[in-house]
Formats: sequence, C-alpha cells, structure tokens
Amino acid sequence: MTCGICELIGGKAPELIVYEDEKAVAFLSEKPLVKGHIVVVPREHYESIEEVPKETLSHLYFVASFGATALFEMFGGGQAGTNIVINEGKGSNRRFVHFSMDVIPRQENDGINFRWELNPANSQELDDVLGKIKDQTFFIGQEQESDEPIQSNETETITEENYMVRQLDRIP
Amino acid sequence: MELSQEQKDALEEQKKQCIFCRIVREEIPAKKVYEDDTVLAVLDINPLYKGHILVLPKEHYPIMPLIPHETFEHLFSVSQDLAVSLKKGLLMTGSTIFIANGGVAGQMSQHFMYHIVPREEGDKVEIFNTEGNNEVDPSDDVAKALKQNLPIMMENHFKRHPAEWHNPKQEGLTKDKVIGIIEQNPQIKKILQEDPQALVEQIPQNEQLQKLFSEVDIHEIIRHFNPKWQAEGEATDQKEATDETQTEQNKADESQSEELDPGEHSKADKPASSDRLEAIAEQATQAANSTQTNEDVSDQAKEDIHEVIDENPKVKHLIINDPKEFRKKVAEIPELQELFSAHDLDEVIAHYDVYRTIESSQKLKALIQQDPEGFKQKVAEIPELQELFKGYDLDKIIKYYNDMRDM
Repeated sequence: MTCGICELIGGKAPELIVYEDEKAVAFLSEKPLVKGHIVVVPREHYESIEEVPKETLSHLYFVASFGATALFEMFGGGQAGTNIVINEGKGSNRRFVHFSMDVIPRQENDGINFRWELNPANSQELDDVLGKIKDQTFFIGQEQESDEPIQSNETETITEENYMVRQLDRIP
Repeated sequence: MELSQEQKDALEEQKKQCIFCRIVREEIPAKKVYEDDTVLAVLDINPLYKGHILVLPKEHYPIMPLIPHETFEHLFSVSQDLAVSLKKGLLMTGSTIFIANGGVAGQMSQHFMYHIVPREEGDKVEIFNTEGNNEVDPSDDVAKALKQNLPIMMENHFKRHPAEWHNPKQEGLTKDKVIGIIEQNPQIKKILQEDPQALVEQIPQNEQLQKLFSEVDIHEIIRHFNPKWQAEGEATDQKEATDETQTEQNKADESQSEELDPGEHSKADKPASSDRLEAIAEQATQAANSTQTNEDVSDQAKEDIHEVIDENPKVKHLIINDPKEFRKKVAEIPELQELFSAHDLDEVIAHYDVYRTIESSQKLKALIQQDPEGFKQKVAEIPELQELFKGYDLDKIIKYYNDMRDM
C-alpha cells in the first residue's frame, strides 16, 4: 500500500515543503483550514504514536513549536494564536495514516472551532477512569531509569530568543 | 536576552494566582494520573471524552517557547507514554493531542499545558478534524515567509542544541568554500595544477580529502584551478598538450619552492605521495574547521562590503529576499564574483537576518516606513528591539525601506 505522505515528502510536491531535515518534514497542508496551516511529519513511515522513536517524537514537537512561533510572528503577534493537533491511531478519525501534527494559525473569527462544552464529570466516573489509567501509568519511565536525569533549568534558556518574549503578549 | 525585571515580577505574580501551580503544590486537590520531577498529568474535570487528561510542566511557563529545552523534551516525550496508557487502560484505539497557544486559539490558563483525549471509532468527536476546504497556494506570502524563516529558526535551534544525527547545512563545504580553502593552501593548489589525477586517486583512501570534497564536484574544482584539465578517459592528446604547458608551470613553481623550502624540491618532482597529501589535507580541513585562521576576513573588510551592499538597494533586496538567487548571481556574474571573492557568502547573507525579521513582521515594516522617528524611539525603549538591532545602523535600515518604497 502506498502512503500519500511518503510520496509527498519523497519529492512529489517540493513546492509544498517549508522545512525538512534528517528526521522531520513540514509542508503546507494541501487542504488547509486556513492560510498558513502546515503539517509536520516524521520522514519515516510510522502510524500510531507508540511507533515513533522518542527522539524523533520530541524533535517533531520542536519543529511544530517553531512552526507555530514562525506563524505567530507572521500573523502579527498580539491577538494571533496557534493550535497544534495530533490525531493518531485508528479511532481518532485521523486525516493521514502516516503520523502527523497539524499546526494551524489562529485569529479572531477565523471560523475554526476547536472548543468543547465544559461539562463537569461526576466524581465516581473520574475515579473509575483514574483507576484504569493508573494501572498503566504506574510503569511509565520504569524501563528507562538509566536515562539521564531530567533537570529543569528554567532561567538558562529563557534568555535566548527575543521572539519568545514578544509572545508573552498573546497569553489570555 | 533576559526577561526584564518587570516581566519577571509579573510572572511571579502570575504563579501565585495560578490554579495549576497550586495543584502542583497540592493546595488544590486533583486526580493525578502521572507525576515525576518535572511533569504532572491530571484528569480534566470537564472532560471532552472519557479519560481526557491535562499534561503540564510543574514549573509555570505561560507559553510553549519559554519552556527550557530539557523540560520540553521530557514533557512531550511523556505524551507517548500517556497516550499509550490511556489507550490500553480504557481500551481505545486512538488519541488526540491538542495544544492551544494564545487565547484566540483556546488557551484557557496561563500555565502551559496540553490535552490528551482518548479516541475510539464512532466517538462523534468532530472538533479535532483538521482537513479544510481551502486550496493551498504554495507561493502566497505566508508560505514564502515560512520557507524562509522556519529553516533559519531550526538551524539556530540545532546550533544551541546539536543533535548527533543532524548535519548542519552551514558547515557544508560549498564549491566556493572548497576553492577558498584550497586558495589558502598553496601546496594543495599546486598539486591540483600539476597532477590532479594523483589527487583524484588519493581521495578514496584519505578521509580528510574525502571530507573536503564530499559535497562538491571534484572535476569542477580541478577545472577552476586547471581550466584545461580533462578527466582520465577524455581525449588523451589534449591531456598531453596540458602536460606540456604544465611542465613550464612546474619549472616556475619549482624555482619558487626552492627559494621557499629547499627540502621540498626533491619531492616536487615525484607525483604527490600519499603521506604528503594527507598532511596537506589535514591542514586544509583544520583550516576549514577553525573559523579564525581561514575565514578571517577582517572586520573592516566586512564593514566595507556591507557599505557597498547598503549603497545598492537592489542587491540588498536580493540578499534579503532571495539568498539562493543571490548566490546564483554571484556565481554567474564576474563583477559580483570579484566583489565577494574574499567573503563568506553565508556570513554576508546572515548579516541581513535582521531585515528578514523585519520582513516577516508587517507591523514593524510599516512602522519603519511610516514613522522612522517613532521606530527609533521604540528601539531605544524596548529591550527586545534594542537587542535585535544591536550593531546595526538604524538610519541605514530606515533608508533601505524608504528606497524600497520609492522603487
């Protein structure tokens, strides 16, 4: 079975590609929700999120985040925003089988609606769900204890890019 | 650059008020799904679908770009474990990971976080569908700006956080660079002029040479130094002709090398030996790696070239808006080639990054064109702008945008 994304990033539509490196490709969505809508994908063909190696996955998030920052700058900062959406796995009504992240620039009254109704769940329901998930999350990180410890060094990288600070304007 | 004291204070104030910081401090109860030193995941109390969770860094960051590199990596690498846990625990076949940056995009809290919503076939959740009805225009302004800016941002990202698997383009040895390196290594230049074939044969056995010529067409380089040269297998009589002309050249070179280094004389008669080549290649790559010795175009020369460019708005416009075309033009037009011969084009192009930043912000560009004094004042007042324009003559920037308007 051929994959449309593999074909696209394999040279079928070079005009759509806005960024590429060894692991990731970002291209303009062929069916954009709005102008500037891009899609970030791994160069390798992975389907669900568990197939994507962690290093690649983190990198894809970085590309998506910088893509969002670039879009934010172009749309004039201030009142602009961006969404990053990943639909993965069969059940997600995903657009592509190839793992992908949509990065979508947002403006006031742009006709996009990612909002949902806020309906409080009852405590019993939540506890039931919590029990089922906790059985699984208990094991997270256990097989990789030898990994380098994660340190939070919030002051160090904050200082690097002036656009970061400009984006402070956009918080609600 | 640093957050100003004011911004830091505002952030501190935000943290005190922040509900999620209070959840992290356990001042407000929450149904914790997962927790480690940096990350906390809790059930959303207003779930869009059964198992909807929020994943947040424990530290308060109002926006995604402020998250430090290591925290960012961990925060998002956990998204995989959590999505898998949700799917397994709740017997679901998919998930949606959702990030909202900015109020207009649905960011509801000043504490950055992302959502994971478990999904299953027929769940009727349609809000996350991302296929639109519009047609893409790969040449519209946003597309152009993305193609320009995103690679620059990513290269900067890799400079700060090099990845083993990533080979930065800047270090790539372009034809111009290789020629520049050879120009500064008379020995290797001489071999190219005298016996290019010996060099070609050495390449597969010599790692340094391989590196030097890995990204260029070696034949083009040889022809640059030795215009009459033809690869082996091409017309031999012509090769003989070149040999003849080279003998004379040899004599000239030899007498020179005798003066400079008599010890080299005996070797010069023989085809280049492999260890000699190795030493030369070593020198060449060392030179290529140290920006100080090889690429040391003096600051004065750099200023001079910027002056020349500033006086030619058309050239400037080309460098800013279409660096690729600019490179092409330099390669094609002898006058330009001459002008830039001593300069690293990458550096020249990078010098104008600040203009590209301006180009990507309609607001800033309009300000410069319509209210130059206001622009100057803003730069003086706002530390971010001060930083951005550090080392640049604002009048030149203003003049350029005036020229552009008139053109």
